[in-house]
Amino acid sequence: MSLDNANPVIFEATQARDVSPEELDDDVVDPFDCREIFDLIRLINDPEHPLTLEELNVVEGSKIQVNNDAESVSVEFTPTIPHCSMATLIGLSIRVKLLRSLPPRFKVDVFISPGTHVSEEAVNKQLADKERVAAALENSHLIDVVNQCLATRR
Amino acid sequence: MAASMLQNDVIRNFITDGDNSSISELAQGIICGDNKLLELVESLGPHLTDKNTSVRARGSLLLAEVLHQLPNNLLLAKEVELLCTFLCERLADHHSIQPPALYGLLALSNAANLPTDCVVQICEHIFLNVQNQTLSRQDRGSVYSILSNLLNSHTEVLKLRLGTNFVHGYIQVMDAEKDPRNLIQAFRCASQVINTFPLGVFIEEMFEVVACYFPIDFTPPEDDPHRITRGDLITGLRSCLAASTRFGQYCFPLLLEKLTSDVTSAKIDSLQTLATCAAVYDVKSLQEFQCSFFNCIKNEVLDSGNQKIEMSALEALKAIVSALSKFQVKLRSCCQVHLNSESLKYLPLTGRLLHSAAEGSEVASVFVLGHVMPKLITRYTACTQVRQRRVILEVMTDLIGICQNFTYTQSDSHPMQQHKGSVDSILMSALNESDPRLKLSAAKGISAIALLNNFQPDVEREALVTKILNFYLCEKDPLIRNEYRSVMSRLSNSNPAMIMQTVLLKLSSQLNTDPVADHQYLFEMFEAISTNMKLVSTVLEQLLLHMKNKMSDQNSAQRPEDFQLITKTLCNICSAAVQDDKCIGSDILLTSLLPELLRIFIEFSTSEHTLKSALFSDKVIDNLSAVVRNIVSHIDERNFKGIESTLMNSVISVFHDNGYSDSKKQTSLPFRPLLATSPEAQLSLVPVFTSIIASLPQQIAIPKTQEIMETLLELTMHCSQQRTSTAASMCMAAVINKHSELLFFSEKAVWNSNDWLKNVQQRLSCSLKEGEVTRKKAAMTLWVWLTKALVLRSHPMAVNFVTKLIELLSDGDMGSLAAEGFQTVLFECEDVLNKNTHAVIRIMYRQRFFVENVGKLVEGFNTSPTDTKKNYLLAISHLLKVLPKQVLLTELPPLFPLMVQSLLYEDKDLQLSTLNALYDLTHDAPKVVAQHVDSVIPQLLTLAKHKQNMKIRIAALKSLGVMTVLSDHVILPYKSQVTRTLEQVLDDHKRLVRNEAVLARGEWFLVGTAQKGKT
Repeated sequence: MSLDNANPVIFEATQARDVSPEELDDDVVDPFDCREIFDLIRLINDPEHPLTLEELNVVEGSKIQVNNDAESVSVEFTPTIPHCSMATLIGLSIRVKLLRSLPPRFKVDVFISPGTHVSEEAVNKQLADKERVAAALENSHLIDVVNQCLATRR
Repeated sequence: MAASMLQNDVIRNFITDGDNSSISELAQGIICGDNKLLELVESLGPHLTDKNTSVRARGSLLLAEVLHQLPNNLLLAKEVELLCTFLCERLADHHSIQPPALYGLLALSNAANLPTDCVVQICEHIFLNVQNQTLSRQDRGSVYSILSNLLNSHTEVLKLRLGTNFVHGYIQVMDAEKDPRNLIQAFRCASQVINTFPLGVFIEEMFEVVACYFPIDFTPPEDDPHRITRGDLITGLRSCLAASTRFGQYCFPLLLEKLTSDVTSAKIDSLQTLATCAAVYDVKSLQEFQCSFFNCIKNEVLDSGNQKIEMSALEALKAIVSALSKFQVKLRSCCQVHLNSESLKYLPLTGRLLHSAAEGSEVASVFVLGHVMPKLITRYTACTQVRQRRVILEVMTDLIGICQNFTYTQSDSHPMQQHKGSVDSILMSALNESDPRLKLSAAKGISAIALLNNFQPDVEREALVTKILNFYLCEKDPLIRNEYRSVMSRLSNSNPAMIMQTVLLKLSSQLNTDPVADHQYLFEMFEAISTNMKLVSTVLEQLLLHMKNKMSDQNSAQRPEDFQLITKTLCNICSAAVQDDKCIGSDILLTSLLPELLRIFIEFSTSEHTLKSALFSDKVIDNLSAVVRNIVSHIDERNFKGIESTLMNSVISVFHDNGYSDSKKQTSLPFRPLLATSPEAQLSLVPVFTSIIASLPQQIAIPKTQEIMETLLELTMHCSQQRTSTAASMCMAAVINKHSELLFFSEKAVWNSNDWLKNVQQRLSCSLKEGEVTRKKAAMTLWVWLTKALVLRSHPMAVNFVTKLIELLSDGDMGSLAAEGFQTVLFECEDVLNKNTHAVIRIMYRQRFFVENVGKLVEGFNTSPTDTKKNYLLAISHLLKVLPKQVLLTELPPLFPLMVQSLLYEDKDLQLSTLNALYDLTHDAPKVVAQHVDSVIPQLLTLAKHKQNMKIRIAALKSLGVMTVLSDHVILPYKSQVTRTLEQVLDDHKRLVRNEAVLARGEWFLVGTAQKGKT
């Protein structure tokens, strides 16, 4: 299988988050913030390259929104090229990662940054459809590929 | 029939009468088909098997002559094979048969239908049976012709079937050939062999067998019918020498030797051969000799006066240079492509390529920089994107950095000279950009320029350094500041004078003019430039002066952290200085810094001063102790009995004997830091005293040991300040650990440490039994430290102390302290009793401790009442943590159930300690852990939701995550339970806990899938 984008531009990875004194205090409540969500998804592996989504600039900290009170999270992602056939898979990986990493009370939206993909609407629709996501996760081949993206490199 | 009659006649005539005339008739008959070769052989039969060798020889010759007359495509493969086998066997016959047999084989070697087996057969038989040197010239010629024919038409077969064997055989055949006619042929074969065959181990022999003819010295006779000239031989030989790229290592020395001979023709031949070969041989061997060749060529051109030699020399030089610069041309063309390409993707890689190339030599760096710099500068100005600019800047900086390695003695030869202006303006503009990474790259670029030698006049360089210092002082980004510091540090190494003049002055004035400002930047810079003794001493002077100023300033009381900073800086400078061999030579730290520091602090402790709380804060004292420790532990062995003994005497006199007197002003208080009733400020200096005594090398004797130990003991037991009492305990432990009876026998006052220990043991046992809690605690601390001192050196009394310590675990009040004591005993302490402070440490003392005491601990656990059980568990978990993996694996199985129990105790320390141990063990001993998952995993899940303590939650989640390294069949049953429970933990109110929960849950989701185990 030939690669969609054989030679992508590589971006630098962010440093690990500094631990603040408040975070070490057991009595302070730490709200969920954009950086925390970003840390969850930035290390997801790209399906095609031995690189993370962050290194490919597919996900960015600035394109994540969190609202603790409304209990909602929205993540925009940008496929490396407009006709990337992996866009759905990347979106699905982000979704599954957040499904496994966020408390169930949060409502999670994952969608393609407007105007960065040719079949943006179709992909967004698929990703927003809970039934279809659930069905996709029943597919053992598909879940294997997703797990591959989510496996952390030790 | 008539034909056969005729045949027999011819044969008889040939063999008996030597009549050669009818051979062609015979051959003609076979060609026309009148006669058969078979018949001829049959009729020849008796002659070929005759007992008389001359008859056999004539018979073979007849056959060979006939074969020569036949066209080469007449014989069938089968016939050729038969004849070939026959003739090959004749080679092993009587020596007189060899020539006709070879002659016959020569005819066959031309045959069109020669089977491959025969090719191999012929060669093998010739190499095996023919001693070429014993044959006549003509027959040797036959051998060369055979080999030449075979080489021409059957190269592949020979290469495949014989390979290096053929090379070996050929070397033997050609060895010692003298005849010019044969040599022409032999050279031709040799060059073919060298060219096509793998020479393997025979490379040097092959070279020798050819090169022995060099230089050719041959004058043909007047009327030579063969018309072989010297030139023919030279060309033949040269083609051999130039046939392999690997001959360089042998050929160049030979040529060099012949070049220095006096014979003109030899010189010319050598030069011409050099010109031919330089183009062929690999560059590596040429590089080795390039200088020698150049010298020779230079001499020939300048001195020989012979035009022919001069011409040849110049040709050779040209060939050498072109061979050497093949590489540069390649390099340039390759880089040109990437430097000019639209995308900058390959620029960093190309930059690295260029870097290595330029690093090679001064000339190479001039070449590369000269080519690349202008291109980079133009690209930079053309680029608008920050990212691209940064990439270009980084490559540029990298290349500038190379110039640091070379001197460029001629002022105008520096490759950066002509780009100075444009590079400077690029860097300055980049420094004003907002992007921090671009700024960092620019800072690196400026630093690289500042580090260049022989590049700019000293004045300019100083201006640049001042500029960098100013940038540093206003810079907020720690990475960029770090970069500036490191460049100053390197400069202070190479140009200390300049740093003294510019940087140090500026820093000092800055320090004094602005007393309120945050001086951390200044201190860090002071630290960075303290790289050699002179700078260190000046910097220390400045810092001490600054500290004194601070002390006399009443406002300092509001800024206690200033003292911390100064002492921290002093500490860092000292620890760097004592590591450096050059610095320790002058004992400036010991002779001036140490007394001065002590004097300042003692002076303040004896006076009434508002600054006391700032000056004697724990952190400042810790830093001070570290400074002292660094200096004392590095006392140079060479100076024993010198300054140290004076120093020790005065230290003891001041701290112990009440011998301090202030010359300047009237002291309000006497200085008695080792007295429990002294003021707090004085007592807080005990750690400093401990640092001095405990860091001494073992050989240095402490005066008045006995008195000091008694005083310290009193201090420990009666002092209300815990830090002081602990420090005194540590001090005693260090003395006991290093005390050697042998050393003290030579002294007058022999102090018996065993008596003292016994005494103390008794006294402490009493205090531990009864008394108020603070006394008990102090006794406990001393007990633990003494135990550590004894265990480290495997002292015979260690057993008593350890046994008592284990007993104390069941003590209601002291039990938990005793358990902590195990940690103190087994873990290395930074302050005392470690390698740096010259403690006596026996190897594997931890293993010994474990083996000796684990049984007692387990037994104690089983017999002790419930409320003190956890102390035993805690002690065991400390023990497990320090044990090396190999020992652990054999000892673990019986202990593991105890660990599982530990998790159930509601004790924070015990749970944390056990969780950490569990985390390590799961990696090291997965099999043992796997046996207990049914109790461990549910308990970990409970702890992951521990209410009070986030550390326990985090540790539990880490251990849960690492459980996934166990094999699937063990943990798969828990997958759904774990993932379900962890879902609740995902909503923990602490972010750090959530992070761990996410990691652990992610790992557990992969359990049972193909991904687990691959990661």
